[in-house]
Amino acid sequence: MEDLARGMKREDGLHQEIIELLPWYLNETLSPEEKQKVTDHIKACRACERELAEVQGLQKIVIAPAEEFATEAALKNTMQQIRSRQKQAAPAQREQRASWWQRFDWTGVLRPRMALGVAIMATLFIGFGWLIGQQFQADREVDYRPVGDALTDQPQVLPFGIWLQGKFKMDMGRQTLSEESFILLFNNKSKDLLLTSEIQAAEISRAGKANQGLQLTGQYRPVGYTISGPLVYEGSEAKASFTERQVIMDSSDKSQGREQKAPLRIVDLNNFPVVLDFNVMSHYAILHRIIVDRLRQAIPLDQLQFTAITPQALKDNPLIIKKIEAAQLVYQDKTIETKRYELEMGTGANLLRFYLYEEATGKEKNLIAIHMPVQSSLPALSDIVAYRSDLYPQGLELAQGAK
Amino acid sequence: MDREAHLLKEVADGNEAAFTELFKLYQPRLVSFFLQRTRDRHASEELSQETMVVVWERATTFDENARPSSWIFGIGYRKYLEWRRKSAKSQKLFQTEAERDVEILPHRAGTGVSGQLGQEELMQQVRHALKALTEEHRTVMELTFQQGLSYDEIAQILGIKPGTVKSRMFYAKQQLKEVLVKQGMKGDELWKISQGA
Repeated sequence: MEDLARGMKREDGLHQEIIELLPWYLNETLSPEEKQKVTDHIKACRACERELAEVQGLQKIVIAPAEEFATEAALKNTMQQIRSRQKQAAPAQREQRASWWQRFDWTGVLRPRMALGVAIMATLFIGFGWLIGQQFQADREVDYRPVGDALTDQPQVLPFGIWLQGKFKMDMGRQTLSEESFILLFNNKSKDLLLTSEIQAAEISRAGKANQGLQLTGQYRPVGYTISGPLVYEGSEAKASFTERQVIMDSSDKSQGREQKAPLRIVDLNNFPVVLDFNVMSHYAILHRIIVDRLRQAIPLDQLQFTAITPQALKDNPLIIKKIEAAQLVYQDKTIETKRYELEMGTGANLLRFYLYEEATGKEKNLIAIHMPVQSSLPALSDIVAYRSDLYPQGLELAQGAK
Repeated sequence: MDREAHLLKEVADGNEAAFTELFKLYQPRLVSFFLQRTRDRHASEELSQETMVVVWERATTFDENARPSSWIFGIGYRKYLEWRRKSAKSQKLFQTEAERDVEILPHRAGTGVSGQLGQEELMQQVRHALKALTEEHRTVMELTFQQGLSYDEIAQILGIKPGTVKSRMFYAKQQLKEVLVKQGMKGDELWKISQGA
């Protein structure tokens, strides 16, 4: 039976592999080995043959009819642009500029109310577009240098690369609490990380858009954190900066037309800090990455302890991984196999337990769901489940018994 | 070295004839790529020209071992992102599914709308449904089918992993079928289109 089950699993994996290659089988860009593999498989597999027909249908739909373009006129225009730029090109070297992190105006960009008027929203969700724009405008020497096929998986193509991007949706029972579009950038020069996201809060009491930005070192140590919008605790904007031993928080309310600053709050840190704002689902994605990295370094589970900070209330709590086990999620009646991390934070009446669900697709390990069961430390009356809505738009559900 | 890589090398040496040849090869492809994204012909033509200006200026940095198409489309994609940032359209980032520019057809329970449509109408319906997909999904589809690029090339252009390109395509197709079902169709329309029925 076990052999049969293993055989079926292998077979499923092969189907998925073949199905994912079909679009490029059709456009004839697969390697000869991949092409042969697909050809051989399709000959013997009715299901994949049908999939191929569907992809052919898709190809017909996507290919737009060829249009005539005035190439000659466009060429003439382009050559004029090139010549005019050559004339204008100043020989003077541009001054060395501070790193893009330093140039990033966090306070300005993350101010929420202004956003409506000045299209700031664009800078966050498509933050990397903005940053690329800034980078290119500020530093003309930035190159478009390709790195060759062997390095396609690496983020070195640009001075910074996108490490992770996606969308999370958070539901409590049947009610949607929020939806967050996030992007995690890696700076190849400074090795720093920048997580930005825009959160659409759906609860009536806190409806509206919030923006957050978290700056981390390449070792995931937080450097700065900013959040603005309806999710900020006691105010409309909060900023945190980190030293080796302390976190310093500055918050204010600018919503009434004048700024009211709250007193600075300083909290001592005892361990490796992890920012964990319960409203910001992408923070769990960062936490998940840290855990995966640490486990890859063969750090035993019982030594994987963090200091978790809840920025709104500014509390620090020990965060530990209790258990890692195989678990299942359900997407449209289909079972998805995952690895589940059980985490605990705080102690006594403040104990909070939550679960992270990881899906492995090839070499990638993605956090696809977060589950917070009903518990005394949370005011929620139903389980809270957040899931990657860009990957699973119809919503992921917990398997029977997981609650 | 293939022809396009050779042309780029010549462009790097300032050869205008080589640039003209490369321009004629790529400009129409770039316009079509931008047009799908911007739906603005004027902007698309400008973006294609701006991209080719960068190709001229940066040709010396092209690595001969890389693929010209991913290098040029990579520049084009970043030009597009810049454009999107500046464009007013970028304010509509949090469109919900219901807000998207897709007309939901009345559901005809049990009948299956697609059964009653001719091939051309069917293709139009499915093209319309494509608009409901996220831009990320549509971009992967267009770079694959319209531009004929490999998944490695697409990964390089978009700055994502090849595995992500494949999964985006997979989910895009799944999502398209779901949209079709929501619109009262059967979900087998892609298969029907491939059969020419």
